[in-house]
Amino acid sequence: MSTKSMKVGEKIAAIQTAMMKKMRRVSPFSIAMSTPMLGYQVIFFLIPVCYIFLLSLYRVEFFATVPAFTAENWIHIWSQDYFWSAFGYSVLIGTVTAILSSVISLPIALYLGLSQSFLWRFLCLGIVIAPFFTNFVIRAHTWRGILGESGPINTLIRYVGGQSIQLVDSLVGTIIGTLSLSLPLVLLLQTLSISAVDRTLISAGLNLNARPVQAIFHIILPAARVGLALGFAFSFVLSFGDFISPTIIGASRPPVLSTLLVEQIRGGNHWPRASVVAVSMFTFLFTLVLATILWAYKEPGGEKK
Amino acid sequence: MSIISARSNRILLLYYIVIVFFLFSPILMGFYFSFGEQRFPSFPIDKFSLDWYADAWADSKLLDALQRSALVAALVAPTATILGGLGAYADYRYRYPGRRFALALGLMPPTIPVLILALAFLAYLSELHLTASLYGVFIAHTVICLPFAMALIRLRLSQLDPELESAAWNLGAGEWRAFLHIVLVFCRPMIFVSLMITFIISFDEFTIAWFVSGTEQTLPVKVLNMVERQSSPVINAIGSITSLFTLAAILIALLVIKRLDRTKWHD
Repeated sequence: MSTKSMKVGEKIAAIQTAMMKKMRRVSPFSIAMSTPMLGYQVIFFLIPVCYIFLLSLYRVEFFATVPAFTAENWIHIWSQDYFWSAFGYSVLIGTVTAILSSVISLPIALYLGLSQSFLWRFLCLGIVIAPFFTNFVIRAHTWRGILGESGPINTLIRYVGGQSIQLVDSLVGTIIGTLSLSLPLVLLLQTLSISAVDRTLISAGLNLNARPVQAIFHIILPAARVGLALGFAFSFVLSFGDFISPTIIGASRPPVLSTLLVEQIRGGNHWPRASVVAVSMFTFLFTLVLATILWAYKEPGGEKK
Repeated sequence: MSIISARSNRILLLYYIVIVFFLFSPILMGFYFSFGEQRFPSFPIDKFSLDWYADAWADSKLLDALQRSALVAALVAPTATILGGLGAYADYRYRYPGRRFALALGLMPPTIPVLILALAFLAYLSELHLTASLYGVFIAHTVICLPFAMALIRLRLSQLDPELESAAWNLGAGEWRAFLHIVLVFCRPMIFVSLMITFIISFDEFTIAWFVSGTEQTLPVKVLNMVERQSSPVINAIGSITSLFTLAAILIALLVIKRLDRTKWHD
């Protein structure tokens, strides 16, 4: 009996090693499965993104871009005051939007993540995510109508006897636009991370007489920290780099980095200078997101890995 | 053990509805404005009309742009789904050096502002003489749609017991046959969802198409040109139709996902 069960055990072990071998084996099949995506993304994503680093060192002669190795585009862009003011406004829009969207979505994330059935959570999340996929140019254009002089908001204000307020062609309008752009994503990330918090941790806290508010701030939010940080970071990235809302709703008042980049392309046809703006944006965001993620994973307390 | 009381639950539900209203207000109001007779969006509407829909329908350049967008999206969806699906399968099945690199490369594009990507595609594709054409838009849209396909199908694969496939191998099925009969069949609903999602992402994408398409304007690019020239309710009319289309696609995708086997979705 025991030898027989030994044999079964050995067989299972043998099958498992065979499976492990298959997971590492190189065959026509494994190559056909693993190379197309990798190849495509290297050729059409990694190389193009690296290429703008190189392009920022090129020179423009008689309206044509020629390969060179010069820092003059960098010096030109970085010495302009409007570059730094645009940078400041982009950071402002990114920060305000990220804070607002994180704070606005947190109650909903707690509501959906903690107390709802799977089906209800799924439905409610589906509804808030749906607008994310609709055309943002069109949504921004309608925001202009809503926030404008003759839109419903100002009509209502005048109806109750107030002075109409300037919402379009300003930072306020731009931020309303970027908020509606990034809120669905923040909601998704926050809800998923809160619903993944270990329930026994929460009931342990409640059993130890923690009040709900204490449980939320001392157990749930620290445990869901990674998702919250990612939500904040992505909201920042989306609104920092957005071109549509500052252009259509804000009418480039004040100009931001993305409008500056587009001006270099559309107006000046100066790709190397546009690349300087793009690489500056990319490097800044990359550092920021990396720092956020590292901080979120490192912070002591909460769920142990 | 409920941490949120019934009363706060009701308040939170109300708050949720307010936020949904905020997110949907540009879509709903666009719909409303599109029926107004005046040229400038105003509230409330004095007189209802369907003129702007008729104008949109009569604009042949607009219909051309619509056709281009649909064509590109129809090509991007299967390409991105196949590439992303294979990437997801390779990540699920194999342990190889560079696996994390491949995963990062597959999922990274949506985390970079589209404007930066648009410039990168414009510069790189013009070296390959692929700008000012729909080929360029197709190539670039595949890059940004592929991550969504990969994430969706990888999610589905994580519900598939890896032993099922190796059982098929032990029963004598080859790798290809096991893949076709087990993995592909299991992933079929998610492949459908991926096709829908990637289609609408490409269909509604503006910035990259704006940089790369040249004179071959897609619908969102055409719309921006109209916005820049003059605010017109025709834009609201087009917007209403495309938004309805997008929302319907999302709804169908959600229904398909909801019907999937949920054994591993529960906590």
